[in-house]
Amino acid sequence: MIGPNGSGKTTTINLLCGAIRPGKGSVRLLGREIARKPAHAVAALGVGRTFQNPRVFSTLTVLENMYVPVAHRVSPAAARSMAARAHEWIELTGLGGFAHRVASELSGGQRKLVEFARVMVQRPAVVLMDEPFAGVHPVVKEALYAQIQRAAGDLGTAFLVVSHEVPDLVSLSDRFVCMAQGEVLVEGAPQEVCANPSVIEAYLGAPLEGAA
Amino acid sequence: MNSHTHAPVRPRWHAAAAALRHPALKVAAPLALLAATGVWGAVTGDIAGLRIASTVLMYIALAEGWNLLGGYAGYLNFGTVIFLGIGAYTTAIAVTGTGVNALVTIPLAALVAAGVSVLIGIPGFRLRGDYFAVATFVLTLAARELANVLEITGGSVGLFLPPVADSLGASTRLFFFLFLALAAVSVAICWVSERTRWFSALVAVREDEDAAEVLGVPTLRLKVVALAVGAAIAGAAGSLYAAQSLYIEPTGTFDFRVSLAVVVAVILGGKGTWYGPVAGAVLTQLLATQLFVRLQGVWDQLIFGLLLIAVALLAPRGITRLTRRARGRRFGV
Repeated sequence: MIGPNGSGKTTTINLLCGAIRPGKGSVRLLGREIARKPAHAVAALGVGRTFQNPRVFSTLTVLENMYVPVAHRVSPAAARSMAARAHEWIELTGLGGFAHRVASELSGGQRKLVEFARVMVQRPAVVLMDEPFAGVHPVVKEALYAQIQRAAGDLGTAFLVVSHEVPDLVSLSDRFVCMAQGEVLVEGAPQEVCANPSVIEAYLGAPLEGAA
Repeated sequence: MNSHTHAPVRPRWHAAAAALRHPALKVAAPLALLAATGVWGAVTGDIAGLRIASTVLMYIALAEGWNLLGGYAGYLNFGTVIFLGIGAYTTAIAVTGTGVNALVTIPLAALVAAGVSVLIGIPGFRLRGDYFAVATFVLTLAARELANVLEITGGSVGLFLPPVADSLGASTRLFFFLFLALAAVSVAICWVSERTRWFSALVAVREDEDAAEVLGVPTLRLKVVALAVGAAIAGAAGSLYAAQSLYIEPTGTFDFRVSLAVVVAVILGGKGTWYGPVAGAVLTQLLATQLFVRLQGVWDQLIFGLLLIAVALLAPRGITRLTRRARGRRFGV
């Protein structure tokens, strides 16, 4: 999802994850109406999200952060598989050496990785990511790209990513949505959306290099 | 030094300093003081000493109960005495109504207090931060007025209970051990809580409640449970209080200063840890008692207040965290 600042991208994510309730209209997940459900119930149905500024729990360790989304699941079997997933995602995101570090000791890029690992521990069907690559070191960015592609391919997780890294997203995405002034301006294949004159006018400013 | 640790090489005396940081040691000193008071009272038949120790134990229980919501989840709650009072009145009403032994009613008192806390919590937790704190204060006043006007509570006259022991000495010893058991249970609840995933979710509520909710934490349910467990402890304490006092009335039972003393004890000791409330309750209660005995009147409260300010300035995170706590592995997975 692309679009100029203030076009409603974060608001859309807030609506989809249940953080705010729509005044009208509906939000459906696999055909099921979720707009009136509390945010924690939406999360339980398989909608995970990350935040523009990473919101990790700074006095908890990295591992404890992984446990927050599933803390209320009491069955021992669920707890075991969740603990295994927590360790797996900590390793996959390269945070292996930091599992028992308090989150406040981590760098901004590492916090982004903690957020990503934390959301994946929930095994979500859909992950909403609000500017996951903003202000992130290129190496961390590449790691995130790889993990998103891996999760989308192996686990079938759907990702809705808000980002201004348009050239990178073109190769990463199946579909682009460009928003402007609270509405969907254009949606479709990445190349087509980027070549659309109204998207160039409202957001890109100039045609993307290499775009059709 | 272990090559895997990231800490720089430290001089040898740091090992001793690290040992001193162990939580068990932080509660050892206040507990030793308390045990000495209790043993002294039991051996010499010093009823006053045992009564003071019982009061301290009651405050340990109340402070640990408060800590679940106030310390871990970060909700400032000035309503502890509401649940203490409900427990006291539950026992008094059950005893005067049916003639059962007061001690039999302890579980009922805990249950009723927890039930009322759920009824308060579900609408009350729509309020956050300062507003929640104000609401708990106002509810304390409402509870006192309710006890004043209702017939079942005996109105402003109050309720009398028959003694559960034959003599004052036997009663004092009995209640010392009952308060000791309650304090031990409440400390254990916090100690165990800190070793569960539940703790992660409570701390997440304290740090960023909206993020926790979006991540799937049922924050309302979690806060209600934390409040209810604390209320059950306070209800049990109130039951013991009524059974020991043999007489309760609204003003003395719903005394806001009790709630305040609990909050002060936890903050002073170090909130959000299982050992902070123990240290805080022992030190504030013993200090307040000594000051009251020696300097009755205005001066004891004034000096107590000044000492609190001094501690707040010198140890803003509580006296048990004067040394920075090293966070290590919490989960065995």
